[in-house]
Order: sequence, then C-alpha cells, then structure tokens
Amino acid sequence: MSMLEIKNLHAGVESKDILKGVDLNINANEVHVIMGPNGTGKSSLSNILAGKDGYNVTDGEVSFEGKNLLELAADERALLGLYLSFQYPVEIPGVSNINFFKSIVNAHRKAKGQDEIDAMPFLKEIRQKATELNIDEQLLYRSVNEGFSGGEKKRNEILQMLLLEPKLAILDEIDSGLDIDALKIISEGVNSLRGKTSFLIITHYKRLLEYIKPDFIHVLANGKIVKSGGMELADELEAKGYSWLESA
Amino acid sequence: MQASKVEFIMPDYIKEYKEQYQSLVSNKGLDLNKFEDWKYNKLNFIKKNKFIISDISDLKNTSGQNIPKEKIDELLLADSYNIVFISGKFYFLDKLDKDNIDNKVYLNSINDYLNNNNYFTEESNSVDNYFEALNNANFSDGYCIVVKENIILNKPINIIFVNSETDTNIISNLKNYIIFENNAKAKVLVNYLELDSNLNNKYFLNNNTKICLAEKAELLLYKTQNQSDASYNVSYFNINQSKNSNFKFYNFVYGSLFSKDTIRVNLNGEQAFCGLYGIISAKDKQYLDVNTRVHHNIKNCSSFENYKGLADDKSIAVFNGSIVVKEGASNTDARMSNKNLLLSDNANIYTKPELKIYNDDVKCSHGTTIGSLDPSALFYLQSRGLSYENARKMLVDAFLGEIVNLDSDLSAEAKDYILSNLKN
Repeated sequence: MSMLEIKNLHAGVESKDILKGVDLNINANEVHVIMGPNGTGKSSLSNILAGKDGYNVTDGEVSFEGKNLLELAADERALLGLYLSFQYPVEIPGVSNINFFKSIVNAHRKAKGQDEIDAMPFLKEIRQKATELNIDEQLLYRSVNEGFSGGEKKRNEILQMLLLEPKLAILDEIDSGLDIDALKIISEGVNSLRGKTSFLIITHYKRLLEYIKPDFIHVLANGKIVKSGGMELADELEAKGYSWLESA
Repeated sequence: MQASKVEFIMPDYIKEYKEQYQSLVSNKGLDLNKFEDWKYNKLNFIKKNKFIISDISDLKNTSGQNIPKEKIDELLLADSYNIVFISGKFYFLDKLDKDNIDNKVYLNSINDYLNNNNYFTEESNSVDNYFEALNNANFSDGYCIVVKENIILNKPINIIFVNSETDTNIISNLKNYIIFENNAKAKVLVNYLELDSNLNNKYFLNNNTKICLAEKAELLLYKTQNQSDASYNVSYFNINQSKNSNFKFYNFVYGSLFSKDTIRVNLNGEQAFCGLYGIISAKDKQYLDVNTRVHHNIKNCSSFENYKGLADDKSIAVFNGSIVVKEGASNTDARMSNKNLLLSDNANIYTKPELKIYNDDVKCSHGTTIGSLDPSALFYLQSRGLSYENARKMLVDAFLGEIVNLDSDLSAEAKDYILSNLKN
C-alpha cells in the first residue's frame, strides 16, 4: 500500500469539472513532480488533497496511510502528516509569525500526546532554520506573511515545513517568482527532508528539478495524468512543450 | 482588610434633589423611548421583569454577609486600592493604609461624600435619558474618587461590582464621581463581575458616572463588563475635561443580556485629549450597545476613538459614535474608527458614525467596517493543523489585538487581571 493513493479522482467547482480521473500513488520518501499547462487542475489537486472547501468530489478515492483522506477536515489531515505549501501564502494580520509557529508546532505535539514545546530551545531552532533559509530575523516577529515579498512568503512556507517535518509535503509552485539564489536555498530546505518526507511538487519550470532531483515526473493535462516518467520527461517537455500530450 | 458597615442618614438636600426626579419617572413621566439615543431600544423588558428598586434605606442591611471572605479576596487586584460593592451596596474598602493615601486621595462610598459635600447645587435638572432620571431619583450608592492637586497615584484604584445570589430582580441605581484636581494623575479600573462564573443572576445596574478632570489631570480608566448573561447594565458617563487634561478610556463590554453605555465627553479646555477605546463582544442572545459623543467645545483639542465589535450566535452589537465640533473650535483633530466582525449568520451589527462640524479648519475622520472572518485565512491556519475553533480564535484575537495590546502605563499584573476578568 502506498502512502498516498489517488484513484480515479473526479472533482470540480460548482458545475465545472476540473479533475477527470486522476490516478497517482506516492510511496514513502519518494519525490513526485507534476507539470502541466495552466488551468489543468494542478492547484485544484493540491487544494483538494489539503482539504480546502469549495470543491465537489464526484468520483474516486484518496487514501493517506490507509485512511480516507476526503472524509477528514483540513486540520485532521495536517495532523496526520500532510503539508501544503501555498502558491499564494495567506497574510494573517495581527498574528506574529513566531507565535503562529509555536501554535502549529504545539498543535502537532498535542496530537501526538507530547507536552508543549519549551520556548527557549524552540526559538533557537527557529532562528537556526530561518538563517539557513536566509530569512531575516525581523520577519519572525512580524505578522504572518503580512507585507512579505513573494520570495519571503515562499521561504516562510518552507520554514514551516521544516518545523513540522510532514510525512507528505505538497509544494504548489514553490519556485514561482524566485531568483536563482532563493531557488537554491529553498531546494536545500526541501532536500534536507529527503529520506523523511515524501514530496508532491507542482512546477512549471525544469530549473527546480536540477536542484531537487525527483523520482517521478507526471504531466497533468485536461484533468488527467497523461504521461509519467523520469527526468528524461522534463527534457522532452522543455523541448516540445505540452501540446503533443494534450492532443493525445 | 475588613468589611465596613456603614449607616448613612440621607441629608435633606439629597431628598429634595431626588424628589425633583421622582415625578419624572413615575407613571406619566418620561417615555422610555422618547430620547433620540434610545428610540431603537426595545425597553419593554423593564416593565416585564418587574425589577424592584433598591433603596437607600436598605443600606443597613449590608449585603454580602453570607459571602465567604475568600470569595471576595479572590476578586481583588493585589497592590491596588480595592473597593467592593455587592448588589449595588458599598461593602468594603482597602486603602492600603501604609500608603498614607488619605493625604492624596479621597476614596469612599458616594454617600459618605455627599454627607459632607453638597454636590448637586450646580446641576440643572434636565436629563439626557430615562435612566439618568431614574438614577437621580433613586440612587442608593456608588463610588467617589477625588484625587488631590499634584498627586500622582502609581497604584491603580480598583472598583469591583458583584451581585449576591440572593439579590435578584433588583435595580441598583449607582451614582459615581471621579474628580481629579489640577495635575492629578491616576488609573482607575471598574470591573463588573460575578462571584462565580456559573451564576446566572438576573439584576439590573443603572450606573451614572460623572468625571471631572481639572487642568493637566490625567485619568486612565478601564471598564470590564462581564456580568452574568441574565443581567442588565446601563451606564451613563458624563466627562468634563479642562485645559491640557488627558482622558483615556478602555471599555470592554462582554457581559449582560442587555448592556448600554452612553459616553459623553466635553472637551472644555484647550489642548485637552480624550481617547476612547473598546471592544463590544456579543454572543448568544446578548444586546450590547455603546453610544459615544465627543464634544469639541473649544479650539486645539484632540480626540481619538477606536472600537471593535464582534457578534456571534443570535446577538446584536451596536456602536454609535459621534463627534460634535462647536463653532470656534478651530484646529480640532478628531478621529474615529469602528471595525466589526460578524461571526454568525444570525447575528446583527449596527454601526453609525456621525460628524457634526460647525467650524472650518478642523481635521475629522471616521471609518466603520463590518466583515466576517476570511475563509482563506481560516483554511491556511487549519492546513497547518489548527482546529477550526482555534483558527477562529486566533483570527478573532488578532482582530482585537489592536485594542487589547495597546501600550499603557498599566502594570503587567493589572493587565493580566483585566484580561482574566474578561474570560468566561
């Protein structure tokens, strides 16, 4: 049994069908990449996996470690070890980043029957990880994502991932809008969890794959996975685009 | 600390004063709803509940005799001057004698004050609303604070109102005075609480508080209103400020089935400042209403107002704020903001800002909003493992943070005390 099993998933918003039979299995410690043209349901797939309201699942199944994921609320999924890095991280005015980190880490510890984390060692851990991600310490004390640059928001998503060490991390366009240095830093963050965490990475760019070598690449087009392969598929897409797959 | 038993003989002039108003509030007197600021309030509960007016003659019968002393001690704020009222009657005063406070401050029941000072002579007998008349006609007790000239009081004065379980269905009319002489500076906390958070007593407090700040006086006032959800609380504040005085009022309205605060500030001396801050947090079937009016009667004064409202379940939260700039009040700087969060489809929020400006050369602004919690923010927090309830609480706390976390001169202990009094 795979960690994540998606079988024949059909889903949409209101009357619009978006996913039209997605099949995907992800095993422990594997890194999967989904590529594909705009508007084919890549972000919808990640939102549905994370438990966002507003999507109707009309057919299919999704299980995570044998549990029916679709029956669980977003927070229950997170506590099972699922993490979504948002394409557009949400700004939360009035909640400081550091208090937010503490709350979410404690929510996970509570779910595991552990005591609340000690403030001082935790602060040290956050500072160290923030330094590794080249996050200015000032940002830790600012409101969550408020007024952060695009790159700062993405790094803040990776910082949370490093603190939570999820079993499965879904990274939705973590590389969009990043310069080459930031891309490297984020890739290092992702790679530091390899061997502990499985990844489902959504991207438009082959560039990211040079830093994070995936095990599998899938192409999502017209609401379905139309092609799967290894790194060679990325080269092919770079050369030929998506149109040869969409018409297939 | 000891419970003080007090017996007062009502001076004749108070009898006469009250009589002026008694006819007003008797059968054919004042129409409850005739006053502009009350015309939307359904006040039939007054008649329906058959509240009994608590009378001054009851004072001998000291309420709270059956309440264990430890219960009262639990409510007190350490290192402050505590005054406790039980069921609207003065119960105890802890002046921390070692501080030699009598040289600096007069602190007692209003009845003690009125026995020695004739305060009513200058007053006209026009009233702003029914409850003011009811209070004038029937007041039985209240607190009085006079901070003397040039005195800076570092420890707060902490006033506590609780209700005895045995005193239900009564209206207590409380008359309170806060008088600051020139250059006097102090902090006053007024707390409306219950002895036990499980108590669901039905009673009515009708408060009438007069505040006079002389030149350069500074008052930081906190009011935490967290009475039982079956209680009624009407509070009328009349504030007069002289030159260079500074008044900051933090008002936390959380309790009562029906609560209405009417706050009237008169900026009468140049360079006076008033800041009105508050939270109206309504849930279940509560009706919580705050009505403020700041009169800029003279030039060069400034006022700032920031209220936040929440309405959950089937509750109603109301904010009415007005700024009146009198002719000649040039260089007025007046700002008002009221933001609200609607937390349930069945709740209601009413907000109405008003500016009445009779002078050019003023800076005035107002803004009000009503919104609900951002679903994308809720999802973001939940996707990190926070339950819906905790995510919601985090967003609500963040919304209120601006008011709750405002820096002030208050000690950390006093701040914690205030916040703990707001918990259910």
